[in-house]
Amino acid sequence: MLDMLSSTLFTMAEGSVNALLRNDPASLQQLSQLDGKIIAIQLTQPELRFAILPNADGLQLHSQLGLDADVTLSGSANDFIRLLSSPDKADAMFGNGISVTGNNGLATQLQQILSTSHIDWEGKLASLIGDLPAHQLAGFLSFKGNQYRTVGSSLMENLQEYLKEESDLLPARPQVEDFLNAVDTLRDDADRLEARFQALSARINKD
Amino acid sequence: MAALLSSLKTDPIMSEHNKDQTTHFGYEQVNSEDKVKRVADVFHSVAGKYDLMNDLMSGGVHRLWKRITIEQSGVRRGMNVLDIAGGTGDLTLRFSRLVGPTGNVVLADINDSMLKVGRDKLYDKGVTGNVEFVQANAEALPFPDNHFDVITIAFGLRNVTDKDAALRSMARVLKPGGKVMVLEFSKTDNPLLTKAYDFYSFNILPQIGQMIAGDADSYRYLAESIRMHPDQDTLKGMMEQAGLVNCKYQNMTGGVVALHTGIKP
Repeated sequence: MLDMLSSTLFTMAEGSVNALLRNDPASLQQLSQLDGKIIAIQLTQPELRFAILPNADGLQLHSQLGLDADVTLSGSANDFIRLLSSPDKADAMFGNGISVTGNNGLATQLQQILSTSHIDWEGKLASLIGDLPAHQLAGFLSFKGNQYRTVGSSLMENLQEYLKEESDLLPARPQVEDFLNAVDTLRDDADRLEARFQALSARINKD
Repeated sequence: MAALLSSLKTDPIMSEHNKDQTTHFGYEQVNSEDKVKRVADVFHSVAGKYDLMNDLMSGGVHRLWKRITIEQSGVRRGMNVLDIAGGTGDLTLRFSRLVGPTGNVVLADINDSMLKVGRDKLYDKGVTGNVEFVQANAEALPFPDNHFDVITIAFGLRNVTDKDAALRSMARVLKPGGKVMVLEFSKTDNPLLTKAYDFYSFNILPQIGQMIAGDADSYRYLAESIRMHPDQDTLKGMMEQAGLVNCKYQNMTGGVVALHTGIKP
């Protein structure tokens, strides 16, 4: 149950993110394509669950709605910071950090919006809170991200390489992308076939 | 204090009325029809500044009260929601995104100026397709029985002439298992807070009203009407009398505002 403190935090977070997004009309327009979708975020460290409803006006945040989510992204705060700051969003989204449950196509759309938006979070923050605090905050986040990567990544990379290459348990990313593209194509084909079937049925019924 | 103005939305403005067709206008006893006109005039004149006034008067806290209401509504995709005294559409805006294209939200308000401002605001924000705007009196809601999954009335019930009739009307149009939520100013239980709140309401609030809307008297009325509104337990009893069950309330900001909820059996 949401209390006043959580309500305050959610309201402030939503206001800040939307203030940033208002400076990036291209991203807002892309987000409007996700209108009606629910994206759940499951943070493991710190433990926090919330939902994002993208729309033409920005993002609407909610503390619940997990059951209704089209897709759930799970990971630590560092994983999500990396998603925002990394130049390779696809790797940050579908690499070893964030796990995606539900509509993979929606996650791909979100990843593509983040990739093309080129939102300079540090620059945008600076216009809101001033250059120095923004730089310090971005530096802190970057430091924490790098710290996480240097400490944890070598173990994870070794494990990932073993699972992909040695044991063949996990597919390589290009393979996954090929598979997802094939699924998308199949889905489109099925939709077209269904539309054609309905058109033919309508003609038969009409005759 | 935030949506003090919204209290005027559902007319007639007063908290109680009697057989002689007089009613409370704050602490005054006045003729109902005069009050309706006075209140309607105030709202026609302040509709454009309504959001600004809410933010100024509450320091933005009304957004937190409304967010808690929305989060606890349990509104999901495909639901039918009625936002009574919806004013400029704060709740409707968020509900419309929650119910999605398969759901529907009705923004109802008795004041057409408020309704127009709300409609323009929602259209400007790209909200179309799943929202309807209806000018309606809360005491006689123009909807079929058992129609809505969730009904909210935020800072509006206080100004309904016959609150019992309004609650019965809500219960009628609510689906069995559906939820009524009443967000309204209430009674603080902390003497110190009550004193500070009274000072704010009767000294500062009218001055803000004078500065922004050029009408101190209306804002003084708003403060008085809050004091005339039933306290938490009384309102809970009224909801039970209207046929709702599992009625309960949650105080916010020390009881300055309370969120009452009830379920239709």
